[in-house]
Amino acid sequence: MSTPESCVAAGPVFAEQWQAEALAMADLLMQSGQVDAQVWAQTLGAQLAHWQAQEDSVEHYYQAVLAALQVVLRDNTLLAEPEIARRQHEWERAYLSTPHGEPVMLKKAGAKP
Amino acid sequence: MDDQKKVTELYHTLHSHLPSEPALRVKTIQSLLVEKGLIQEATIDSWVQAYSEDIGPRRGAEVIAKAWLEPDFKQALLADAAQAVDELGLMGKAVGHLKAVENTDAVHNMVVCTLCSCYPFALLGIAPDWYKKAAYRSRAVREPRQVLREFGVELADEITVRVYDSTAELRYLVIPQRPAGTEDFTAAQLADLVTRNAMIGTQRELSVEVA
Repeated sequence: MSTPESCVAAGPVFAEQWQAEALAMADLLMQSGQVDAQVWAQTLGAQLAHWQAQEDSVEHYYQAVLAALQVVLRDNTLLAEPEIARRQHEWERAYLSTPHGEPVMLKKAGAKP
Repeated sequence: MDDQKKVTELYHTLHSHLPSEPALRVKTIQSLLVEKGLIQEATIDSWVQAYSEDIGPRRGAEVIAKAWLEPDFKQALLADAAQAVDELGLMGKAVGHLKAVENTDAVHNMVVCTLCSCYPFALLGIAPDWYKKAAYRSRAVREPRQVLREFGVELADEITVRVYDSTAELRYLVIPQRPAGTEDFTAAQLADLVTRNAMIGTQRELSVEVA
């Protein structure tokens, strides 16, 4: 299953930045009391059952974290899917219209693309 | 090159700049939460940096070394681990309680979270990959001796295995047995011996050779 590891880290803790950020947001929302820790555990458990049934990997673990984050944001009326979808579309357009190498910024609301 | 091919190539060039779907979604959620004032951007950045670089199992190892050296501290740790660890300034903003369980000649303790991945990460850093996988989560309770064998731990039949199921409210820290021949070791030398897996209970014997 795995070999014992010493306290010296054997590689990066997170394979990808988004994985760290998704976990950070969940933890910070719990620390500030905006999301209940037990509700989080239940929600993550349900998402893990779904994602890890497809593939028992670290990638799918973090996919479950991201899915659970969206569920608790919705259920706590902090953030709903239509708003996320709209903003994601804006980010996509910003990425596609920004020359490679330049910082990607969102255009101000109402500005012409 | 025909036009269709050119279009396809252009599409790929453009889309190669796009982050992956989950990365884009996380960026989106983050930008909205920051905009709404629900989370500070700097807080997310410092959380990521802390858990990527600073907060790891060394913290837990220092707690174990102190428990080995100071019987009073060990008693305090066994009585109320969250408070004992908090007094060292190592508890951070952890949610929930912490319980320390001690290995003895007759008992081996092992920790799992069967529901999700509850883990004392303010003390041990981010959980190892195997701890998060369904394989470990589902098998640790059902067949702990077999799982331990796969980690290289052969337990004699007379040793009792106790498996603790972590929850959002109660997490566990295993206090491994202090290896023989370490009577003269300093706290730092002892901490060097303590591995992350030993504090989760998927390792039993600690080697004195790494010190």
